[in-house]
Amino acid sequence: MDNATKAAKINKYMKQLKNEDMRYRALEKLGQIEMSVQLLADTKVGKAVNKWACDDSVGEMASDIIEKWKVLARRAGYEESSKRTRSESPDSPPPVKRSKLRESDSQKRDESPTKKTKKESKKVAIAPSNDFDAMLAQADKIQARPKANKFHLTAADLDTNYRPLSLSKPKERPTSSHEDNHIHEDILKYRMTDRQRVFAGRKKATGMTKVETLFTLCLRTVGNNINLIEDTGDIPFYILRPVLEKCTPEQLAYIESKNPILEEDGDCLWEQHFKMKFPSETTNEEESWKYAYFRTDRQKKGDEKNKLAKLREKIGGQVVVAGSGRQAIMADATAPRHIKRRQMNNGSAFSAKPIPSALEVRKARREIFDTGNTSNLRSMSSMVNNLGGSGGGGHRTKKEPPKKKAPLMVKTLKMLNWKRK
Amino acid sequence: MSNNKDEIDEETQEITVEGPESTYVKLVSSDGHEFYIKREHALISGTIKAMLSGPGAFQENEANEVNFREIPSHVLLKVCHYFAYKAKYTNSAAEIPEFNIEPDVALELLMAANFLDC
Repeated sequence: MDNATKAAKINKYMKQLKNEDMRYRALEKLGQIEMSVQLLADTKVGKAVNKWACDDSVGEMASDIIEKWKVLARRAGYEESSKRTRSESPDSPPPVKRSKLRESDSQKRDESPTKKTKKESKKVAIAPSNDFDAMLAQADKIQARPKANKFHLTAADLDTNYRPLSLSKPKERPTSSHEDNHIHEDILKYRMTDRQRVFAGRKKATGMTKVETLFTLCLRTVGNNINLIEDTGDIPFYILRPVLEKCTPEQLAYIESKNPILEEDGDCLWEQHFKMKFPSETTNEEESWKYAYFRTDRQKKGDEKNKLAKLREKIGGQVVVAGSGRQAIMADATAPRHIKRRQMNNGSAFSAKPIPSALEVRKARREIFDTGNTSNLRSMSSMVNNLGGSGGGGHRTKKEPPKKKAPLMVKTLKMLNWKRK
Repeated sequence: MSNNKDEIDEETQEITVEGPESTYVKLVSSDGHEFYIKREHALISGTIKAMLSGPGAFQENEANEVNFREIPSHVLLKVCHYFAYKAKYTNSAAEIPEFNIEPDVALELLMAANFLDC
């Protein structure tokens, strides 16, 4: 956007400012335009915006914009004053700032030899400004006459629209270098009278403090998902190196098998793996580290196998051979009867002898009844026969020896006439 | 100023798309996807910055358009997201959230990031 279009736009917005509905938007747009001091002076937009600085609805925005333009003007003013020497006047800074804005006026004034009023001088100035050469000449004049516009402040010179200079400085300087006399305003922010939360210590940096580069972020993501790496395409080794250094030998071998490009340059990584795992080994000549790694690995594995086999043999030889005479056999382990019954019902009963069928049992029992011959039933499993040693088998039959009384106790009882056993 | 397309909407913002010092620039992926992003965002990438503001050696200077013949659209999209993310959270006191990258695009994005120097 060149100056002419900008100026046209500014004029358009200035007109819109008069319309209440469009005022806010117009201000917004004015704020967004890249302003220059030249434009400010030409269009007098500063005046127009300042008019609304006290308004209820748009005042804040208007003042913000004015501030911004003032900073701009001041900065330009500084640049101007740097061209001139400072020794010219003792209190040059403030007047120079002010004078920059009015310079456009004074320029035009300088044109006319006699002192005219502002309006008249303006009229004179408009004509030559159309002519490019004259403009150039004007520009030269500024340079040539540094002392020209000083403080010949007559009534005519004063700008009727008073714009107070704010004490804020250009944006470049940090706020801490603000006037040293003043206490830092943050101290005044938190008054002890206000019921607010008080924090001790430093605020913890829970999130990140700086935005990282996309490159770093990607590298980290890849590093966290090494198992998913298959085909790396054209990525050169040096870029992927941090990721590959994180890999285990197996992962590295897999990735290299998929991407031969990385294999060529990746031997140094294998060197590290080799030295880590087999610190005392050496390599043969003409052998890449990778090859050496796998060779040594295989050897070690082979060695281990051999060792294991030897051990097995040793242990095997010392085992006592079976058949020394003793032989363990299963006894007919009998469970209590109720458990036996349960087992039978469940089907998990075990007996050395086969469990007879009900018919057989009945027959055998009948036999006893008939003939008194218990041999058949006895031969059957002890689960079935109820002949021997059951019923009261659990009772104690021995007679308890009589309890012995303590002799002293007996004596005491006698004394007390306490006839008790 | 070969293409001076000024898209002026009376009611809303003025967007200059082409022309020197336009607000927006155009990034084109290898598969023809065109991304219009703010100039200041694009300048986050050192490579793009050099291309757009170089001493006239690059044709992109005039047209404010950069063609990436090696970057596919799904990668360039992520790159544009990163520009927005960085522009928003640089010099901001707010807590910076994590920038998520899917593992699928990570490798290609890595290459692109290396090329674009960002």
